[in-house]
Amino acid sequence: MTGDKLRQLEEGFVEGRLTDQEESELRNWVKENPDHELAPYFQWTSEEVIGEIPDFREVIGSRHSFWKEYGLRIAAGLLVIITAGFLWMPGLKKEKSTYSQAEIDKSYEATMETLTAMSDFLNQGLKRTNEALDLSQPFEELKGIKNANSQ
Amino acid sequence: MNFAKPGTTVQKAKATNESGTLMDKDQFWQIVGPLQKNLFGFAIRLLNDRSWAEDALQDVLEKLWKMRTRLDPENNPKSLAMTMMKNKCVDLMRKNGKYVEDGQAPIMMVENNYEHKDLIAQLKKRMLLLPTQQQLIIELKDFQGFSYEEIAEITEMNINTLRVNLSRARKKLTEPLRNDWR
Repeated sequence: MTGDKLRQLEEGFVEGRLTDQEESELRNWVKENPDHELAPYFQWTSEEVIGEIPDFREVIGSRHSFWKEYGLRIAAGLLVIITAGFLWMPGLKKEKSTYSQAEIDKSYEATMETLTAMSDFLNQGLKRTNEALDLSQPFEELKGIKNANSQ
Repeated sequence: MNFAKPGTTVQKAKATNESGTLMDKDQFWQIVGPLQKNLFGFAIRLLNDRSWAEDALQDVLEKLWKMRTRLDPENNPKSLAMTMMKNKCVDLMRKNGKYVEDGQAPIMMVENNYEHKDLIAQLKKRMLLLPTQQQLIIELKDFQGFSYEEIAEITEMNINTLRVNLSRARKKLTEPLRNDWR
């Protein structure tokens, strides 16, 4: 490379005027001429040591079961439905005042039975969700991996 | 500087993966594994804190995993991942008061007669004194090897502004080197 061309590339590099190709040309030339003044700069940017990279392979993507991704949303949805049901029940009783008390009681009991069954189902679902999620575990695992990496 | 605009890599990634096939863990790591070194290097240099960089890397990997149906190996996943990492780092720096706006950066002094190894230490020190936006550009251009177009997309800057900032940053960084050769 001629002196003029080199000076042009050096100035262009510092002033951010070079194309990607020209920059690559200068970088390669300096690599072959390690006494050049810009050599420390290119050495620093291409060989910077960052130490060991933490390994998240065991953490990311390993515990994403159906329950983990959707369990809480399903549980929350059911809770909203049940709560709405309870809030709606007394209003229904009042509005249907033309029914006899026996009919109302029977309907009320039937509804309560349904709600109890739904509640049992939800409790089971929540229990299974908690077992599947085991929320404390990923953080413990992560802490373990971090500690291992830092050692 | 916060999130990608419409038409950027994130948007393109969404558009090209309409089939939405669920990628398994091995396929995911095949794409993302080689990017980890770049992402971690970016975070550690910008945040200057190993623990923060680890948290940022994990966060970005989690986000990439969640959007794995839209991750396309032929649609520049490095640029997409780096955009996410840039946003995460800028967010962390802002939250912790470490984001340096242009014009708030301290004045850099130049001493004479550095040894070669001291020059590299000087470069590292000077990098941390640059405004955050200039650090981002140096990181993406000189460490990560992105093209001007890719950096413009990641940083949401036009190419002229990008070149002006790159010039300012390189002038400040290479001052001790140029002082050395005079």
